[in-house]
Amino acid sequence: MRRTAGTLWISVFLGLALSGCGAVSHEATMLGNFVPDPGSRVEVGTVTNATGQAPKVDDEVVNIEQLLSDALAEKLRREDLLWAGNPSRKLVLVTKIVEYEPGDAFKRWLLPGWGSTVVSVESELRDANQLVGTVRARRTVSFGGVYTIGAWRTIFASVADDVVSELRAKIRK
Amino acid sequence: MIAVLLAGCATAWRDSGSFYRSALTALAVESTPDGARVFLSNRYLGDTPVSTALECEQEMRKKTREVTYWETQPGLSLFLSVISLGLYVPFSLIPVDIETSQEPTGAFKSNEFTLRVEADGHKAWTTTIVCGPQPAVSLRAVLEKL
Repeated sequence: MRRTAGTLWISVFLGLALSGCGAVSHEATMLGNFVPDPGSRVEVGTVTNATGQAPKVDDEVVNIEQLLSDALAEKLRREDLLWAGNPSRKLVLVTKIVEYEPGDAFKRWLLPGWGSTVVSVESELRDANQLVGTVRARRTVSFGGVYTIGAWRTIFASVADDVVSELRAKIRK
Repeated sequence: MIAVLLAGCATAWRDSGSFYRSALTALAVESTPDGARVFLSNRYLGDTPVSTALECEQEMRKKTREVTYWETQPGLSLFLSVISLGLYVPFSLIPVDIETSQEPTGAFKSNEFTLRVEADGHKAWTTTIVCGPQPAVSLRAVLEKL
């Protein structure tokens, strides 16, 4: 019995250490009385780095704007929300990366919270260049081991998922 | 109680730069006489009474500090403390996780707009609107007859 309980503890601990986890927050607000037309599609507009830094991983500057732009396009495509030149109503998603820390998986493995990977984005939804909504999302990977080694890159897919899930909730099919 | 005490360990806030966020100010224009033409930055907006939203950019200041994991992930910290039979607790007092805060500096840019109101047989009425923290601006243009 004691041995089973011990194995369970170790399994849970190892599971958490390997998989990694952190904090997630996201919200979307439509301004005024704006309600997106059902079937509206979203174009990925400009993505800018507003962190004031050019982040480096392994001494190489990372193009975080491109990483996020690609991730947003991919998630929108999966949700059937990506505008592809079709005649449906087009909304444009203009995004700023306001916080980014690549973090360090080894530090996270040593002490949870240390070496956290962090990304925070603010997106504006525009209809014919008019601001009609905002989406804010923040993700961290603050605990975990080997499976969080590439979190500096995969966190963009996670935060894009958060942004697109908020859009999906506001734009009916 | 213990979690609150453990969460108290944090470094001082430090400046992490700033960025601009779009902000909207609602504008409502009325006039005497009614039905005058309204131009916003030389672009025809409509006839009075008319309303629109003015967009400007508001500067946001970012601050960061290091806090303990109890502050950002109290549930997980408790779990780690229990599962490690207390071994994690002394290490958990080290403030290593990142907490950020954003607040408006009060500065704006791209926030000046020229408003012109015209009606036949009247002098044009012009004013400059400066958007700021106020959510709405209401104006009444009283046009003088020629």
